[in-house]
Amino acid sequence: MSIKRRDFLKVAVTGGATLALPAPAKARSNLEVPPNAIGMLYDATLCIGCKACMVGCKDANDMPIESQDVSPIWDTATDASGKTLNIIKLYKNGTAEVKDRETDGFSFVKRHCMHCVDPGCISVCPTSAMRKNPDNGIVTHHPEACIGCRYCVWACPYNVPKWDFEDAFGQINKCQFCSHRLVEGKLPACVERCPTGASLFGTREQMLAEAKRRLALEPGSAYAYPRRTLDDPNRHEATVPHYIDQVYGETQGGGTQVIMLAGVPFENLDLPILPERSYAGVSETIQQTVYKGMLAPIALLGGLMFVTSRRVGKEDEE
Amino acid sequence: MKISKTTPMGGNILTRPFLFLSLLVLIAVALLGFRFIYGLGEATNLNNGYPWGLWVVVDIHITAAIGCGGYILAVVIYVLNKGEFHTLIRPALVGSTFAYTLANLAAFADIGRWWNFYQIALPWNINLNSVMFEVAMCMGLYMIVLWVELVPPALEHFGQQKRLKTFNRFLFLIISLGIVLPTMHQSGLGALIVVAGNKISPLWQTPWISFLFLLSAIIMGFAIVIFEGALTVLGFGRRLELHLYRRLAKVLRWALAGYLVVRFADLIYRDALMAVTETPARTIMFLIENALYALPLIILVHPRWRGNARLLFLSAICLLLAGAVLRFNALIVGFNPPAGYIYFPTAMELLVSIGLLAVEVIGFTYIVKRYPILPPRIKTVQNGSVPSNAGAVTG
Repeated sequence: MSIKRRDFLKVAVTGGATLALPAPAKARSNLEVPPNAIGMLYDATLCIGCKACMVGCKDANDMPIESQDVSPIWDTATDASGKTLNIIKLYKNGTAEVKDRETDGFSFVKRHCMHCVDPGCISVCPTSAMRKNPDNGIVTHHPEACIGCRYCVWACPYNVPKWDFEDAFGQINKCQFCSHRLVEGKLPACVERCPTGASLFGTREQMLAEAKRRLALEPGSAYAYPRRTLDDPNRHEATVPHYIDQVYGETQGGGTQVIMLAGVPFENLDLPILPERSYAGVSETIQQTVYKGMLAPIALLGGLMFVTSRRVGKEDEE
Repeated sequence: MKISKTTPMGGNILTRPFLFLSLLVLIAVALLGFRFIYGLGEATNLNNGYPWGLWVVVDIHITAAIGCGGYILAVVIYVLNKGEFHTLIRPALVGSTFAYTLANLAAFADIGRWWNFYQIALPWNINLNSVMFEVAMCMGLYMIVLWVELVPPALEHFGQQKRLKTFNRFLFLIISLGIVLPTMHQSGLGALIVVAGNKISPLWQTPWISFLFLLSAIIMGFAIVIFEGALTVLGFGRRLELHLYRRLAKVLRWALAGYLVVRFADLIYRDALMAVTETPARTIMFLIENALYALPLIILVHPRWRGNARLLFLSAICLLLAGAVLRFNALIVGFNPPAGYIYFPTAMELLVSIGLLAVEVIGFTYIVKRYPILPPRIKTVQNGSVPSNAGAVTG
């Protein structure tokens, strides 16, 4: 065994170790908010659970109703699915007497794609079938590139992308922020149909400012809540509730473009408690450290080729 | 490579076990047909809470890890410079080739838009940040590498000595690739879960998961070599090369000790051990997983037990199961689905997984009976005399 062989082995081992060991610093930081990020503010305390937004969503996206009934007349979807992109869910506790109260109270919550600032679905997709608009930040799915591996379904912290298991030749479906309506100058269908202003559309910056304004209001006082957009004159006068003092989506998992306010803790509303560091950033830090310029695999391959080229064919002559 | 050292085992192909396993394969093929016509929703119990189920865990993760025999022997022979293990590599490569071919086929059956599979290879779709992309590419390439590594026995079988010589000149490149690619995707298969964050229990969600998956795949590689060796002894009445397996067991002992040290040091360092009480299923499965690692370690550290063929075989079985349970735990048991979703595989899912394992067994048996994969049964063959009961069918 020559010294030279040992050196090449060292190179190979270092390359191999880099491939499997936990990544050191030089992290891939959270992605930044896009320059013209649009946003949506959902205020659960304003939501009356009328599901007009769900009907609007199905109309706008040309999707069928879901029902377990023999001859269905109502849409009775129980969760977002391959056929339901937006759903109103109910939290209730004990006697469910008072709205927006954790104990013996209830709250609605509207669940659909959060349009993450740093989306996991985009990070995981092997075919780049999930894309984020670099300008307005809308996260869209492109089935023509999708192979149906369902990694996005598995990995999304909000459990948003859904595979249509009822269709043998199905696809992933998720809320696309009504991007097809936005280009026509229309509002997202759920916002347009919302009678109370629970769903509000604007820039992400505007929505964050409005959310913080509401948190600063005195509970019990009156506030003219805007409907649809901030500058829509048709406002909705209501009493300010006791908000949970948190703008959900400002920082969670690197932030989202759909942000939320509620009167009960968000973990009761089917929303995960996430660290500020995006999981996509954690995962990509490992990938990028390991495969930076493919140096580690190439070092490993080169070292191995040197070692094996001297070994192959001689293995029986030991 | 000297050709005199391996020979077809010969014998009947259509034995009773072969026919029974073929039946299982036929059932699996029929059910896969059903899956392609009626879709995943009809064939499986997969749902939007558990989008990955039995096929992903058993037929991709576990099958690929079982296919690591060729990988670890390549490392032992060519990197650690132990040429004497060369008699073991051909059977290991055959096993690995079947395992990886099946893992790739299973991936094809599991993806929902299989007609679109080529999209992953289109340059404008590449996402280098996607662990899935890395894993898919490496597993596909490695399957090709494995088939190429089987060219020498095929050339020998057809008496193409000249081509064999030319081929062997480039073998070093193939062998090197055959070490790099599994190192990449076996660690990548673990890295798949990192991005799921708190959707995976801290028992399995660790920065060390790539390392643990890779090392456990290496351990399974050792185990499958010992396991296959024992089975060919039972099946073909070959002499057991116990001295070789004992030496493998010595290396395996260190890998296993290293695995358990890292596994528990990490759990303690992250203060994650308490997560073992999260659910009863997690408690039980975590204990089973680690007991299956600990028991073989106890056997393997004792020189006398390690030398005992039966205990060595038992250790190999434990370690194959341990790696399987680790993967099952990290992807299913440790997975926190959205509220209200449960998953238990359908009979169809189970029968497909069983059928794919049966393909491996009958494929392996067929190839070693017809092609020069295994060393001859009787030692005297080294003097040039042909054993009366072997190699008769090659003609």
